[in-house]
Amino acid sequence: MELFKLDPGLAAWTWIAFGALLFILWKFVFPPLMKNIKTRERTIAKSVDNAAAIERRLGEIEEEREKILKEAGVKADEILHQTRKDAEVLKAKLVEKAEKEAENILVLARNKAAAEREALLQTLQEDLADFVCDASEKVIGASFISEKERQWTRELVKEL
Amino acid sequence: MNLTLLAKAIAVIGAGIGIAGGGIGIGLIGGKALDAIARQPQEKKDIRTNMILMAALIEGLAFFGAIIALLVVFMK
Amino acid sequence: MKLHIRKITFVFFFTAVIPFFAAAEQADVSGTLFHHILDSKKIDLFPGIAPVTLPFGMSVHVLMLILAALLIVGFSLLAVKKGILKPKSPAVIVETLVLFVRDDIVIPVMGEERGEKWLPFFFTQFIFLLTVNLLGLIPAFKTATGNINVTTSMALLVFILIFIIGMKNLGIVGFFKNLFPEGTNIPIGIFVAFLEFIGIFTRSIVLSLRLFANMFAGHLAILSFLVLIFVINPLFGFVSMPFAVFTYVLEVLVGLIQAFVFTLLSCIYIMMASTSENE
Repeated sequence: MELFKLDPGLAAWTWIAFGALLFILWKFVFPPLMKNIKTRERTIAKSVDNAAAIERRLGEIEEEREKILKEAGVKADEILHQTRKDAEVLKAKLVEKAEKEAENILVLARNKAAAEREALLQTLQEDLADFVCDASEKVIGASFISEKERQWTRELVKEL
Repeated sequence: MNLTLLAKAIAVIGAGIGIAGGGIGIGLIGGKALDAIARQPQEKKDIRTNMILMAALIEGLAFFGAIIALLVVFMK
Repeated sequence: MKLHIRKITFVFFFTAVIPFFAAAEQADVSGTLFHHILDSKKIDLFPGIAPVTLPFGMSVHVLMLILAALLIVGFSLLAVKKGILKPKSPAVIVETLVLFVRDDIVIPVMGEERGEKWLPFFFTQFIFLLTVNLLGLIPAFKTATGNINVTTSMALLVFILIFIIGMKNLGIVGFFKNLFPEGTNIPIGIFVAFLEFIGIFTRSIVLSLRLFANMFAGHLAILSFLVLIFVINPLFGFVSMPFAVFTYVLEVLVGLIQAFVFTLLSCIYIMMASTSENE
């Protein structure tokens, strides 16, 4: 039967072709090809590692940021609170001081007004005494009143 | 002459039966493999490789029947 | 692109059908069928042209084998020279195939360390068989793997490797001891070991027969559909042509699958023989 005819030449040629192909591929094609593939696989693996590391660091940074933010918030709250308290105290103090000053000013003004009134009253009395003396002189028509009497009149008016 | 023709006819029928058996086998394999893939899609690659392997093993048997039938049919 | 495909299809059918005009005249159907599948010392493409006798007593299948080897060598050397970074580089295809063989065949069966060592052998086996299988689908070319001598010598290589690697890894005594099943009494153990030993032979034979039968029967099916046109009626071409196209497309798939299966099975057989079951 032709279908199963033995052909040693063809078998030998198969081995020769396969052997030569294997030799050439093993010797000249595979070393550079596998090197390329290995390099690429390594690069990819490294990139993946890098990406993972970057992601991890990003996460860390994010966490740190969160923490710092939280701390800052707490600190800001504290500062705000403190400031508010300080402001309160300061305000109270200032108000107190202002009140005191205002009182002082009031007292001073009152004193001053009193002194002025006194002075005015005194001048008025003196003037009145003088006026009385002058009027008396005019009525009498002579200068009878000595300096001593004038003084006395003044005293009198003052006591009035 | 008539006897030879009869032998050839029987050989062809035998080849047909053999191929039908192979067809049943491959059908079973394909069905089960699809079942498995539907159940576990993540194992798709493994299942497909094994499916092709098994189908080839059975297909080989079917082809032996066909080849033997051919030998008989084309026998001078 | 579509026009391109149509053109190729047309040329394919034109060249595929021509030889059968001669067959119709001779009316020797089986002779014509086998003539187009089996080996011959002459190339005869067209009925009008006288057949060319090949030099050095080579046959067409030898020519196909050498052509396939040259194709692979040229392609892979070009791939290595060009590198994968250039556009349209053949390295893309070569590296894809290498990675396919490595990740889908060798490493799952053999493991990382041994797989890397044996990858060139199995890759060569795979690409050689694949190229020879697919070369046969080009009209006027022949399938060398459709010849039992070719497949048998490929399987014989695996058969020899089973013994060599098995004995190298386990030792001669260990190799035969590996055939014995664990934990059975001696008579049954001997029987099983005998069956296992026979199994090595049958596995190798079946390995060669499977590839041969697949390629041979596939091409025979295509040709049978085409021959029917001349045997029955020219109008029958409308029926048998679609079937022929279908079988042809199927043959592309079968060529790929058979190369894959051959490589995978030889890998498994070598691995089975060279690792003891206790490990």
